[in-house]
Amino acid sequence: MTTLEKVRAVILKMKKKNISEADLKPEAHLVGDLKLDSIDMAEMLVLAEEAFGLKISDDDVKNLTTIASAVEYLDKRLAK
Amino acid sequence: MNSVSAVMSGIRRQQGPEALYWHDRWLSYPELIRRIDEWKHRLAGWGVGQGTVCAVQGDYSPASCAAIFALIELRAIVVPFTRTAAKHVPEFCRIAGVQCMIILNDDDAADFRRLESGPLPGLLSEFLLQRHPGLVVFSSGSTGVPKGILHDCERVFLKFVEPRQGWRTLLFLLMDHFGGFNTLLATFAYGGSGICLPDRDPATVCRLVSQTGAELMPVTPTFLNFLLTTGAHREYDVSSVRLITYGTEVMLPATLKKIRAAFPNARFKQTYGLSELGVLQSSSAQDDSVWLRVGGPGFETKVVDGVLWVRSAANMVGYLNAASPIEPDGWMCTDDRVELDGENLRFWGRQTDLINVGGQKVYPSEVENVLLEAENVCEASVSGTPHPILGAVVQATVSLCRPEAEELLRERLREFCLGRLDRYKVPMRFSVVASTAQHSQRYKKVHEKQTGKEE
Repeated sequence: MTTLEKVRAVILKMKKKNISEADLKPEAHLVGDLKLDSIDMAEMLVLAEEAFGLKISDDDVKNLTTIASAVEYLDKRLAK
Repeated sequence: MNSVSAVMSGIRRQQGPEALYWHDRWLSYPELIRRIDEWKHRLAGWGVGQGTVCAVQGDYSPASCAAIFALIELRAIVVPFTRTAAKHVPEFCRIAGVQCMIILNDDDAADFRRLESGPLPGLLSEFLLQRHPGLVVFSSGSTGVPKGILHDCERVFLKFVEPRQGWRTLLFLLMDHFGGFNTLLATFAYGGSGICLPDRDPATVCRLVSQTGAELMPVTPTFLNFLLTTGAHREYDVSSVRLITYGTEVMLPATLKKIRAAFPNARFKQTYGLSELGVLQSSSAQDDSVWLRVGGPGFETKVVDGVLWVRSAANMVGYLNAASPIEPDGWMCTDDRVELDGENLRFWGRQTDLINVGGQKVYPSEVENVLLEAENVCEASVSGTPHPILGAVVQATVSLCRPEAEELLRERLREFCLGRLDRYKVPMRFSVVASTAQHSQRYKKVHEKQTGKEE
């Protein structure tokens, strides 16, 4: 499974009624397009940490704005 | 005021054959009184008397009970220690200015030691001018620095002067905690019978209930939950139990429902007290209710901004090593969050246990109660964990009745909670531990709490 697929799986796991698989395009903005609020974002971070087996630091949270930026960030972390 | 002699005279008038059950036999009241007198004689021979600060280290036993009552009759300052507190004893002795110590082994043999002690704490020196017997217990305190709590036994004994029903009581709560000392006094002041426990394992407790026909079990919700998990109550005849009192922590409705089914002959009563103020009388709105009224003669209560305040005639004299939290007018903030319905209160836990999720408050007990209703969850403990977005999020540690794949479990529990709780209250992190580990962890948490908050 690619990082993009895993990120999509994480978001779908949250079972948000207004989000379907088709919405999860790389350019989709997590807050603007997918309408994730602060609790959703918090949950997404926790689920991502569990799925990728890493800890996302406070400073890195601001880099996670779109699905693509999340994938880019996670790929960099996984490459280290 | 002479409540100590009034209570001690009452104990000395008892003639019953069952005062204290220890090592599979009953010690009668006349035997207990003889031992109190023997201890008074021995202590006097060692130069222990009015104003001596003397520690007693052991667990409930004929010797520890007799020595404690002897010290009180001699107007000494009693500092009880259980063996589990051993590592803290040097620090506690320094705080209380302990001058000598009686160390009791498992067979009740006593070793008397004099300690090198510095000057007495100022508060204690002042208190000694009154020539009253005293009691010192310790609280872990919110900062982790133990606080020595000095009580005037004349005040503590006051509520035991009026005769009440004596019970055949399990001496479960530790004797170096105010709740344990309160149980000890209530047992003997009312002519009841005390049952010593070699350990506090559910199987041991149920075995002793069955052996002695114990009627009153003053315990903690954590113990009751652990008891249910082990099923020990099904292995022994526990039908003699008529009253189960529980305090020191929040009782979850789900646990109360299960324990009521396990002890159908028993009434249930939540109790409330603090080491600094004593144990208040309480009455639960109904047996299956977590709402209760607290107070009784000598106690006043009020709720300010959702937090309980208490003023007590049995207020401690003060902390030996910290400023007193009691206001000049006698009121003390308990830090316990409560909900008020008429005269009934529901306890939601300590303010300090609250989890602040993005500015929204979460009571761990509410989440724990929901988790306990989920299938295959036999224990649950909830706390906060730092989170970069919300400041904190809720995390849960659960124990399972039978093995289950963790990933599926997490999803299942999240779903379950989402249907019953606001989203911000739903645990975001779950971990699974063995039931015994969970008990140890919670018991430790509760045990630490007990040093600051009793029965």
